[in-house]
Amino acid sequence: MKRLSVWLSLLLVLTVFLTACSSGKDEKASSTEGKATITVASWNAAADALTEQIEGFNKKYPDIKVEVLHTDTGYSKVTPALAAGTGAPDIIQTQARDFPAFLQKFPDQFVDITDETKKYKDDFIESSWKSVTQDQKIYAMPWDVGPTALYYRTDLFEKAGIDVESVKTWDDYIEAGKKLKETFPDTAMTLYTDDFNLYEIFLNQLGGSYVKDGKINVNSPESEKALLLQKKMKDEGIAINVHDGNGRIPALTNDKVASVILPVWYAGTLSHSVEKQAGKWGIVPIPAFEVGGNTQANLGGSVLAVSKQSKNADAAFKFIEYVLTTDEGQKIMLKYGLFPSYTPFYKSEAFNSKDEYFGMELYPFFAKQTTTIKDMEYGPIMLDATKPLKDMIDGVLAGNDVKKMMGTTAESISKSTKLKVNH
Amino acid sequence: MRETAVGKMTKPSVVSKKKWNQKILTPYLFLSPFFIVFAIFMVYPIFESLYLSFTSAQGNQAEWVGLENFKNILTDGLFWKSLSNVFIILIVQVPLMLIIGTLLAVLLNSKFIKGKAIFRLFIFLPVLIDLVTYSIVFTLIFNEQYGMMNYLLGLIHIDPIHWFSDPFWSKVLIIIAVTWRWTGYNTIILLAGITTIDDSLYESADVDGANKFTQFFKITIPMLKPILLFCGILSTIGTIQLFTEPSLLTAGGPNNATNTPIMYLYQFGFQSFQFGYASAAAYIITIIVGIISFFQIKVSKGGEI
Amino acid sequence: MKGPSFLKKSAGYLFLIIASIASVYPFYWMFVGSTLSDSDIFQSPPKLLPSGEFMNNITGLADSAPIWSALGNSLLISTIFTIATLYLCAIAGYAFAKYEFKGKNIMFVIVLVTMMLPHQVTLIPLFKMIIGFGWQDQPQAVILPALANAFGVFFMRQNMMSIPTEMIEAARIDGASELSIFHKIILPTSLPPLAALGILSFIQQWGNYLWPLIILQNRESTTLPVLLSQLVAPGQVVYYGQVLAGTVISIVPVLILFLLLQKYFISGIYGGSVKG
Repeated sequence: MKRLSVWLSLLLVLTVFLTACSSGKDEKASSTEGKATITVASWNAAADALTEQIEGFNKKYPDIKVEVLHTDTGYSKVTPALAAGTGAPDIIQTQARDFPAFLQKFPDQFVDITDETKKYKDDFIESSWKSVTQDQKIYAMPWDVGPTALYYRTDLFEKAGIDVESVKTWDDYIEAGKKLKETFPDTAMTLYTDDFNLYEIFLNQLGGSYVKDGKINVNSPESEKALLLQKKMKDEGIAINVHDGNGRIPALTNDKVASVILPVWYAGTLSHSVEKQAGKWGIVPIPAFEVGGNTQANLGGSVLAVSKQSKNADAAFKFIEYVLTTDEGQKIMLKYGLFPSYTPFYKSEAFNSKDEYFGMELYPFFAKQTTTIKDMEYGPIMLDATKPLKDMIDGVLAGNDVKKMMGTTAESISKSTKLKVNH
Repeated sequence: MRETAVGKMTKPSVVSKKKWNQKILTPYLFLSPFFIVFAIFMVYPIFESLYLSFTSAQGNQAEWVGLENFKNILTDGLFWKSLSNVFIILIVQVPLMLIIGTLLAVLLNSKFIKGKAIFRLFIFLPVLIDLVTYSIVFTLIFNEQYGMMNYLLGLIHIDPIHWFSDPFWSKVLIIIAVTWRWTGYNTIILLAGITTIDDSLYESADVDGANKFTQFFKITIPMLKPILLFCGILSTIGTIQLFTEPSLLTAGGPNNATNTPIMYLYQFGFQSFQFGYASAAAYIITIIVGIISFFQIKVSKGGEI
Repeated sequence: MKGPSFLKKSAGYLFLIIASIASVYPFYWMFVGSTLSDSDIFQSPPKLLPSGEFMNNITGLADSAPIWSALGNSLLISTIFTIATLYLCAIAGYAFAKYEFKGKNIMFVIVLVTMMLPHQVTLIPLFKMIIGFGWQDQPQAVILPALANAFGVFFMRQNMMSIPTEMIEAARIDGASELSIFHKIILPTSLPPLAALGILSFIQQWGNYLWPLIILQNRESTTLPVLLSQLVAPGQVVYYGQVLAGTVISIVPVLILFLLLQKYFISGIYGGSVKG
């Protein structure tokens, strides 16, 4: 009997411990009653920016308490909640290109905000509405965009005798890369990472789409051109693989790379992580595929959506409205390197200030790089397509036949998304 | 040896009935705290995900599809490729790590080594590495263009190795990284096992004139067998479930040469939210691991699992 | 008793030294990096001597992320988990190693099989359950599921199998109760494996990533490694010096625990108790 009582008391202790913990939670919840609390799931710098917004927002709406939940970029924090139908935050950030897939995989999980957003239609870059719209209804608010440019080392270019003005096309760029090697044998013209970022930049520049007319379109002529360009850069030895974002920094720090093809948000990384190279970087539009061709492309950008699980959907939208459609809100966003798709802000003073590191008016330059960005249809496939797309690029870079790789990739995306392939 | 205990416990005539009841109940009582937690937080979720594996569960929608997920996985070349990758890594990496680990454990237990505490600490360190540092340092050291490893190899006139872009060498890279991270962990487990070996065994062997080499194979290895088997099974499970190294270092590339079954599962479960498909993959992986572990136990008969 | 030859000793030392250098280098790099400013961290050849930026990096980190509360959460969760799991695994492992009872084999096989199952798939059912309990952001949401520690039970069983049954029998004849045999004889005899399991469990929980990320939603309730990993991600400025300073702080508790427990790895504890 003695032993039994030992176990009973042990179980009791366990139960007490658990109830103590959970009752603590209840108290916390009841004390904030009467005030709407909304939670926002966001990641990294974006989450930091939203956190800083709370103060200004509460001046306008003192009765809405905002809590920012820091997530990872892989959505691990929000997907179990969306799948389980419980426990989701009120506001969810996703990448713009992933949002159509979210709508497809989690139907009925996002609030229709068509009416609320109507008045902002013309205030946002037109192409940014594309991925938040399904059947003429709007389910999220566009946040930032990623106009892309060529960042280059003015000092290395000069010593190698390369005039950046004369680099009009990607072919010129590759030739310049070879010329660079003559002066700096250990320096590559550019770099890429183990993903499909560079491919997506090229594809968007060419006006290609992942999905066209509801069919998988990764086997398009534009796709082939984009793949062949990345392959040529690798084969000619002017582009090196640095694996991931962490790998870029040592390559840049040690002059192993003379230029990068990346969106606006990379300006912040350059001025912080390679601080010593201040004044040595210039920014120009990316080269075109043919003389006079399109020199603009977008990579990245995200959206904010309200979860259907939210008990305070109105309060949640008010927060989104405040942070994305006011100058105060966008000013904080810009501080964190988030380039707005909300265009009225482009006239503000904060937007037009000079950047010390680059010695130029950074954001007005990038604003000019958003005017001919082509509409890109991601379709509801981007969550399924990540791996096949990476495999496609891997395969092409390894020397496999481009058409064959595009075909198998399209088939494999089709298998998991049940969409048909464009032929 | 166990028979004595059993014999004692199953003789009700010797002890009172109450005491006998307690003896029967004792193991169950001892197991109950663990099994209560285990049933709630492990067994139940496993059954729910087992159910999912027979559905098309995607996002928040699910439909019963029977064995379709299993069929699709087993006919997917990428799954088999990822499986063959981990087998190649497994065959080389696990024995390599256990040999190094056993040697280190024996050295760290040897009377003739000074500064054991500091060596123990150093050798144990790698398992504490955080993923950020791990990824940065290994990518820097093995960088194909300017990494330290290729530089050192250059000093002895070996051409630069394509650690990341060659299918063969990328596997070697993964083997090096996994061995680096987990050898110390296994060394500690083995060391804990070695320290429980009775010293008098070695003393009498010394008296008999057996040299250290003989003692190692005649005493240390047999006494360590349960622990070595434990490490072997654990490492086999760990390698077949390999995820961290390939996703941090090679992203499964080049061309899927370092893709693994768990990366495959993760891609479907957590990148495209096909929970049904991912659950089915998990059960296939479990069955494969189970079969291999079964053979490991059979082969090392006498390990008493 | 004669020791091994000079040659063998040197070979032993050489092996240990090489293994140590390989093991320590990334940590040394991390430590030096935590004392540098960001633009110096990736210089080639790498800087080998620490500089004076450590405190700056730490203050910078503490300004941008709640590292001290995260450190506290990590300590709380890992400590409670380790103590609880040691006891649960030891007593269950002992039952498996030294008792015969009905259903023993099937129970043990079930425990083994769950180790082979990729645990990623249980996350969503587990999430539903924990949310149902109202435990999100609570430490027990991380501690309790982790106590289903099949590895620990397996580990303790393997180690306890080598405890001679005669020892237990002798105590029974002396009239000791089963529980007091476990507490007074088995636990003290098993100190080395308990110390090892203690360290391994602590670091396992310390580095636990995916589940705390999912279930500890609020930044104030998260753990240190999860917090730090969020500071390095694509598409944002990474403050490497701060992150590395954070990782230095993050390994200190584990190092202390290791140093405290490693005295139990000394040969002969078990042998002594038999002879005694």
